[in-house]
Parts: sequence; structure tokens; C-alpha cells
Amino acid sequence: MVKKNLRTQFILAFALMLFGFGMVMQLRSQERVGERLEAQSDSDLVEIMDTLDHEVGAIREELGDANIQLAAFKDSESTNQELLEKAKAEIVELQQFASERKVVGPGIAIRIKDKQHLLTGFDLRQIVEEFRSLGAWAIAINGKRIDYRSNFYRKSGVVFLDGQKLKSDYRIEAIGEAKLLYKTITMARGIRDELNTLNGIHVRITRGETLELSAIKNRSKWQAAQNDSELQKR
Amino acid sequence: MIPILGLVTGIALGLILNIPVPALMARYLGIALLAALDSSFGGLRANLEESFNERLFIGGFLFNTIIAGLIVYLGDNLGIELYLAAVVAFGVRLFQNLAIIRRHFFKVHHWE
Repeated sequence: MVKKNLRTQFILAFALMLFGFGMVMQLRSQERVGERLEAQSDSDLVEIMDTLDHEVGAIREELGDANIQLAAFKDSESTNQELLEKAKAEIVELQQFASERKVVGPGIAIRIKDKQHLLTGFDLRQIVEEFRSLGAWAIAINGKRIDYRSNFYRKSGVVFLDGQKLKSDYRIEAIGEAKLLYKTITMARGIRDELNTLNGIHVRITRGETLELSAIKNRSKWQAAQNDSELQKR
Repeated sequence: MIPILGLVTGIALGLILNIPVPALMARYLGIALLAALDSSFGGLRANLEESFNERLFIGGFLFNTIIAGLIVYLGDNLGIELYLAAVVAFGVRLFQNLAIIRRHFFKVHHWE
């Protein structure tokens, strides 16, 4: 019985020895892990802070650059927008001047009654040239716009404008400085006087009214001349 | 007395040998230690009650220790905190055994 009890105690002692051994190992490992974590956390923290500082600095720098770029972009955008608007306005003006766009504005209108068909294309061209020299922006005869390629000729007592017959009475409209146009046309020995010297021609001039001249229709294609790109194709 | 000497010897061996345990194994070793402690107190209790069975004790000691470690491993892989079940089960039994040992101790010394 004593022997068995002793053996039991030894077995228990062995079990407790294993337990004690394991316990110390566990305590040591926990201690070591804790120390390592503490050491790592300190050094890591410093490293992380350092890295974060660098990153914050870099981000701030990038942000500054981005702001500068944004400001420059906004400036250029507004400049570009202004230029674009200006270019559009110029295109519109050019189109108006080239008779490709309807024009509305003040001006004068000359109504010429020519029952005997005395006026020639040359006469009408002279009137048109007079308006042009006075800075008229848009000119039309009987509602037909005149552009830089317009031509007049007379055939069988009828005046043709760009190949289209002009019926008398003629109504010549010009948009521009109405006062200047009127004064010049009505001045002594001016166009009105010249026309009035011809028998059977009656001239009536009105000014200040708002005129509306439509865009040129059926523009003829280039025939005698070709543009540069067409020549290069050949 | 001899069991206490065994415990002291184990502690001394642990201090002297200073075998490192990988951090990953610490959890398994911890629960295995709990199982071993439970078995040891169970053995002490059985010894005091004079019902100690060597085979049962050794079998229980090894089995509980290994199974406890395996339960924790399984729980880790399944994503379930199964070690809590082992802690509760072994913890409850540990305190029960301790209570019985304490009562037996009091009874022997006529402190009740």
C-alpha cells in the first residue's frame, strides 16, 4: 500500500514536473513575446512617425503643386475661353462681311425708279462701291446680297447680278453708319444728284431704319481660280 | 511532498534549459498546461480519495493535454474560439478538484 502510494506520488510528481516545466516555458515565451512587442512597437512607432512625416510632407508638396497647376489651368482656361469667344465673334463678323450670314442693323435704303432701264450694271456697281468706301457692312440690291465676288452685267436692257435678273425699281440697301451714308449719298454732286440728272430716274433715300439683309443664296463655286489645297491634290 | 518536489524540479528544469517556444505555439501550450494542471489536480484528488488509478491518470493527462491543444488548433482553423470551451471545461473542473482537495485537507486536519 505504501509502495503504491509512493508510486502514485512519483507519477503525480512527474506530471507536475512536466507541468512546471511547461509553465516556465510558457511564461518565458510570453515574457519574450511581450518584450519583443514592446521593443518593436517603440521602434516601429518612431519609424512609422518618420515615414508619416515624410509622406505628409510629400503630400503637402504635391498639393501645393496641384494648386498651382489648378490656378494656372483656370487662368489658361479663362484665357482660352476669352480667345474662343473672340474668335467666334470674329468668325461671325467675317461671315457677315462675306455675306454668308444674315445682318440686321441701321442703314439707308435707296429706291431708284428706272422705268426706261437707263441704269447699267456699271452704274449699280458705282453705287455699291460708294457704299463700300463709306464702310457699309452689308449691301443688297433687291434683297440680293452683294459680296466680294458679285458681278453685274447688262443684257437686252436688263441688269443681271450674279446671273440673276434685277428688276427695276431697284432697292439698294446698305447697313452701316446710317448718318454718314445718308450724308455722303445726298451731298451736292453726290450719287443722288448724279442719278437725278438722268431723265426718267427717280431716287428716294430713307435712312435710320433697321434693315435686315439675308445671307447670300446659291453662292457660285470657284471656276476661274482654285484654292491651294485643290491644286495640291492634282 | 514528492509531487511538490516534482513541480519544483520541473520549474527548475524550465529555468535552466530555457527552451524557447514559438509565439504561434504559445496558445496551444497554454491550453495544454491548463489541461495538465486539471489532470494533476484530478490525480491529487483521486490520491487523497484513495481512488487513484495510474493508467487512468496517465491516459487522462496525455489525452487531455493533446486534445486541448488540438481543439485550439481546430478552433483557429475554423475561426471559432473553441479554446474558450476548453478553458471553461478545464477551469470548472480545476476549481471543483481544488474545492474537494481543500475540503479533504480541512477534514484531515479537523478544521471543519
